[in-house]
Amino acid sequence: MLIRESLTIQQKLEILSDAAKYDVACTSSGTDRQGRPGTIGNTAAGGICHSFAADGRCISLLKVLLTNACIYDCKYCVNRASNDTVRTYFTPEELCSMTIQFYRRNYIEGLFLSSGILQSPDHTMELLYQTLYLLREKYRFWGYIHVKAIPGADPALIRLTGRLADRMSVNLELPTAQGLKMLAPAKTRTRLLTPMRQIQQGIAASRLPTGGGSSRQGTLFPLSGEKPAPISADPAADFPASPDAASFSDLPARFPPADYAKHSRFVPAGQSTQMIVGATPETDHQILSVAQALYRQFDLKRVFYSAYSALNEDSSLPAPGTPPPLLREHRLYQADWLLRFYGFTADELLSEEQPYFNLLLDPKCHWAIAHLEQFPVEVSQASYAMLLRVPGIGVKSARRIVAARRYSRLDFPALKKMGVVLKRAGHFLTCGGKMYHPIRLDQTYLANTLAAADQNQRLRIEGSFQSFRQLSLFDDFHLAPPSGEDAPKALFGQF
Amino acid sequence: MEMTVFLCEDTIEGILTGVYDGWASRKGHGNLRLQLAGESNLELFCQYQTVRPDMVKAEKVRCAIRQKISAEAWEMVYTAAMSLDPGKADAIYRFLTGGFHYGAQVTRMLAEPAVQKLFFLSRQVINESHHYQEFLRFELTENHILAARIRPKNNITAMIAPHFADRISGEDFLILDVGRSLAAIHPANRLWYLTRLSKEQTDRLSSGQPDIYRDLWKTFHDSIAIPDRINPKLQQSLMPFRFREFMPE
Repeated sequence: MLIRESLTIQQKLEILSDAAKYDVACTSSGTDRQGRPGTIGNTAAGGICHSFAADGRCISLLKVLLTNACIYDCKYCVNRASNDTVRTYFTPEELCSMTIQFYRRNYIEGLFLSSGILQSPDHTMELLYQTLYLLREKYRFWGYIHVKAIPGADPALIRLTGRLADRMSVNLELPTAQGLKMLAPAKTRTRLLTPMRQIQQGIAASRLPTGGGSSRQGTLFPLSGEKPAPISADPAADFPASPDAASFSDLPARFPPADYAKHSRFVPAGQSTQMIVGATPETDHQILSVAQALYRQFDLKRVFYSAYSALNEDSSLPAPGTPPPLLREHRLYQADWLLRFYGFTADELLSEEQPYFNLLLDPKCHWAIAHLEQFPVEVSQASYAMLLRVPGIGVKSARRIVAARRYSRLDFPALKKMGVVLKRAGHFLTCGGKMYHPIRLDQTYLANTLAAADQNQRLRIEGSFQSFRQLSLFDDFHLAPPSGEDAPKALFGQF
Repeated sequence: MEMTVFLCEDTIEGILTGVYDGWASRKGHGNLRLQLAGESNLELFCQYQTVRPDMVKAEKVRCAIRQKISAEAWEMVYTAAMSLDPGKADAIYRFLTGGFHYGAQVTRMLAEPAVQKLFFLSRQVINESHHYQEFLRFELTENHILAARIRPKNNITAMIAPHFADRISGEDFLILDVGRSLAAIHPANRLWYLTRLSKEQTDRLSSGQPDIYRDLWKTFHDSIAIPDRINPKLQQSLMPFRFREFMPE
């Protein structure tokens, strides 16, 4: 593989950001850190998006690869070894000055650094660490850094890097082990999960001394049935020294403990991962179950879903030019929110018999229509958990309702002002025993109404117009077409 | 009884003094109204009274809100006072009549129209100031000062300045509200302050300096989009045109 060195920084940026764009995570949330005199940067817990690219995705971090050269040949990846593209790299200095200068101008919240694998995982991880070290120590950058942990790299390196980063992530790439075997023969599931487990334990260990629980999850809805990973009192004991740790024993000498690391914990913003959707034949149910397992067992902060853009030609992949399954990705994100904030489980939303989401309805409406026996819900009496399950009520509006109903009787206009979306919620609520619409709860009627209400949202995501459908008496109103001997009678009106 | 209208200046001091005077006049809440000076037409059967902003009275009201209602209520009143809504002075008065009656719980009484209105105004201002934390862009001027120009609907300059003062404390920077000629100026490692700039001072700031990092940013912005997913409508709804006036991308 030929690596071009004689490129301007502009050309390099073009190549290396182009190569990084299929990474989806671009959030800058999870840590709240104030600025300090003599340093540049702070972080906001909610994250800040600074711009939106032409595809409507937010730009929060400077998302680049350290290099797009890679020794692996994963079939779905633009940077696979067998693709014929220009390969180049950033020096750590170049990356640092670009981050700082962008940051000063308020273009970005920080750096999102990923990389192709150069020579070996260890070598690549060391380069990533060097860059972070330079940025934190020499440039005194205290803004947000998201860095990839390279699977297969030495745990000692990952531990050091984690002290300098806000968030770390290991890409799960494909939801199931079979998919991974098919498309990325060089990676195995275990190899990906090892650093994920290490980061999880590192986070838990560094959170314990400050008195926060070892797990982030379970504050609102304790996720039962899972044993927490055993954590010993000594954080160092959780990181078994690897056999080849000796080769990195000179690291502390070359990089004295970072000043930044004294003020920060290990990966304070938690870890995330991403899965590619639509490259392999997994069902939504499988994907969501995997995500749920990751949240429960690995204490992940976020799981990202990436609709696969067909770029590479390969017999085991969708043909190039296949549009990315954007709506499916959107439904998965909606369901992901239901898992994390609304107390739903994967098996409630989908099942073996019905493994895919209804593309016309959002997952919450879909669930509600299938469980009409639990509705309508009375606003003044329903529990917080039940309010959360009503389509059109989010976490904020549910909290507002619970706060406001102690002081006065709520009616529909008041709910609307609190941010409840009556277009959806109106079908499932009663205020003082009265419904918003004088209609009965009927599955077909509700499904059609809500799907129509959701149409603009769908168009916005797909960016195109769907064709109109001709109204059909038989499908829409469940009229059976005349059959057998009725047909001639119906034709001549002889009933 | 005939309606009395208190005309206040469009500043936080002006409005709070109006609240004080209105309350002290003992005319009854139903018989008085607060209005911004220079706002609308005069009405018949109304008595007009101009309020002269008074720091002492405003401070008394501020303390009363913080102590008798809550710090949260004060935050709502302050942010709502930065709104562009012409009815904000009266909205604040109505909210406070409820507030001094119910105490701290008033901020949760969202079914009350007066609370709703203030909540709405305050949320609008906070949302806009958050947008400007995102979309504000600094430019490097000739004398190495970072200058940002914005044209917000609500008066949010003072609300976003602390964010940047904390973030880039070691920089000389200023944020200029072009529409109001109001600037927040931050000398490196010192406290920031708010001031009005003259026309020629603001013109000096808008010189187009070449900046390699601005070009790099544009390159990055273009190449980070995925061609398969191009969706200008989505982009526009997330980043409306009115914010883009001073953005390089």
